[in-house]
Amino acid sequence: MATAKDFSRLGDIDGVSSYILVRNDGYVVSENYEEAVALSSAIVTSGEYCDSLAEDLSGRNYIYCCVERDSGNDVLVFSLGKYYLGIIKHADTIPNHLADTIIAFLKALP
Amino acid sequence: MEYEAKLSDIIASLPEVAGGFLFAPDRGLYSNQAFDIADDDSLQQVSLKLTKMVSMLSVHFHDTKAIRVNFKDLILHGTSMQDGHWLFLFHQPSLSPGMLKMTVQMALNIEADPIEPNQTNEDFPSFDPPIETIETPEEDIMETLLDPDSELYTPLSTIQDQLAYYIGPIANLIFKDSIELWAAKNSPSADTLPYLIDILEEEIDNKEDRKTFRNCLNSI
Repeated sequence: MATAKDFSRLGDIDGVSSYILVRNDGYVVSENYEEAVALSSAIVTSGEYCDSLAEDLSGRNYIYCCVERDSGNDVLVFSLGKYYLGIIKHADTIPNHLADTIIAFLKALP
Repeated sequence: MEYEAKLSDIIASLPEVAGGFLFAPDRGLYSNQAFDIADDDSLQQVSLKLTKMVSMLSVHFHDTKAIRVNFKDLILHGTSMQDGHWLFLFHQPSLSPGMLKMTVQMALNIEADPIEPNQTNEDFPSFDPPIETIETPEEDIMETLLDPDSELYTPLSTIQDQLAYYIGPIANLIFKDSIELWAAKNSPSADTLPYLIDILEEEIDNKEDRKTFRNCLNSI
């Protein structure tokens, strides 16, 4: 069964610089980012905003969201039920490819 | 008027772009050229949410510049412009980010991004695996209840499997949280399993799935 330790393997994925898995009450379940606690509320709120886009866009559910940065260390947000996953990518990684890898990882969780 | 014209130019030049709109905090939504996708009120809400997201994340990361939301059949891309104005474009997934970026930069007369693809941000901290994970003390109760010798092992495993069928990979984390909640309010036993099922079915969004989930577990 998937545990916080399973999610820690996110940090081993090529292209992932850091990750943070947060419950919707702000509790950080798993991370490899030293400022995870400071970032957690922004990840939860971002995920909740993205979830609610379906109400505005004729029921379209988002797959993931990417906040682009000048550095290239873009921030990807995924919704997992009442958990939200934030990924900070390496600058030289293509976000679409990384998102596909993350989705495959999540689907393969036990 | 300048931004409206540029928005029109971009839409006209890229067939993959299905529409777009502009937004400014002091003005709200304007120049909606995406009527087929959503009305003004809806796009106003979309704009507010996405710009707030970027604003929140910019407190932590000081170099945010754009946002992209991927849907199954459509991508919404927002670019921050001068004076707090935002340019949003709906486009098909077949349009490459590079092509979109170049077209927007040309239209807005923005200089090309000086950062090379392989250049890293020296300000960004790097970390080495292995990764420290946060263990929660409630894992003990999970281990106890899901021990193969436990009388609840079979019914709980069945419930867990059913939940995974309906809500996917996050099921086990939700199952764990729900077990904690259930154990906190009830003495875990076969008699109180219906309370656990009550908690879990709330996690299934689809009404029909929720009903089927409950029906499948009636025999437990």
